Amino acid sequence: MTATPVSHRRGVALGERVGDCEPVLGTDGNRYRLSSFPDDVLVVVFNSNRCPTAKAYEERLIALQDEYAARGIRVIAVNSTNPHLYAEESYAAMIEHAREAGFTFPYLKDDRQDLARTFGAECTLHAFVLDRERRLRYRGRIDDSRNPAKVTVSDLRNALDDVLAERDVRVAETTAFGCALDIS
Amino acid sequence: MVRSRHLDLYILEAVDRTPVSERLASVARDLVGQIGTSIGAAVTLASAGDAAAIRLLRNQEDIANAFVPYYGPEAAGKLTNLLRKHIMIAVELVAAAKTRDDAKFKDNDKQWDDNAREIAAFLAGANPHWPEADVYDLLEQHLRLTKGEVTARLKRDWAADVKAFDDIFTEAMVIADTLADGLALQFPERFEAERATEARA
Repeated sequence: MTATPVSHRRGVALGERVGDCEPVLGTDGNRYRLSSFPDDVLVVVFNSNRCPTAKAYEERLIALQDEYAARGIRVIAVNSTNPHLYAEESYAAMIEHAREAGFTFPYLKDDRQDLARTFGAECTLHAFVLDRERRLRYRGRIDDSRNPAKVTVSDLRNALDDVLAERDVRVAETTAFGCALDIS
Repeated sequence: MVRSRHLDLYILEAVDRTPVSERLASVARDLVGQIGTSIGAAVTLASAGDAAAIRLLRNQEDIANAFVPYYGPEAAGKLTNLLRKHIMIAVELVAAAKTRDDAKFKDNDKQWDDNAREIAAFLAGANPHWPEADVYDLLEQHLRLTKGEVTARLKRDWAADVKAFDDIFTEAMVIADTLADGLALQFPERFEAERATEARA
């Protein structure tokens, strides 16, 4: 919601390079770093198992990954929510959730919340686009409506198209909305 | 007051959220959370009878009353009317679903959506930090989730019913956070002392 001020949390700045992260465990049992996908543009999305807004976007994220995969786009979903606050966000629950939702992309448990702090993630969903040089090119919402039938602007897709075309992102920052992401 | 299992946990979350005070955030979550708690009752209103309706309507008054210190009694009265209408339409919508009266259901569904737009417009007029499009999007999701719960309960799909309830409750917390954040941004001076006290505690 734009009720929340843009980027009140400090994270990487637009245009700034993001360093590699420690290995993070995915629901497929593998550990990933940002450097695990050296040839891809990355879409890092902070996700939640229980948040209705996040659930409303699952099909759109899967479609986006399917549609853009051949063009060198890689979606990485990250769950940074403390499972001691919300049991539904545990690693085991993530495995089940990824299976039920049919995720076609890695779903990582950021159990130390390092990724959330690095990016300054504020809520679920919050999306970040890193180009191949790992510079932050976009951060914000996926689009402008939880209801796919009422979307009027697809900010994330626009950003990806701009990055792939090697031009400035037309709107590099929007306000993400969804469930609050607690950072300890 | 109905306290939620999430409410106490929220105190932990508030440490690194927005400039909102913990007390304001807790009150907002408590008040709005009752929509999530109570809305399930709306689904079975016909069998729960007047008691559930009275409880739901009182909750709308409680929410609107919380607006009085910020926007005055007249604005709070308008909000009460809009929120009560939200509940009364829900009652009719559920009744139509139960009797499988499609025409009546569609009519009430349209009225419910119009009411959500009215609430969003009202809130946006009161506070620039509650943008109309964003608030409507949030309220529209609340309506869709609630209709999902109605459907699940009428089908006696209890697993889906429980999931729908959890979604409605979680989404009610987002509504509460949005309201609390907006108040704190519009009236920062009212919360400075409170935040300082909380910081010292």
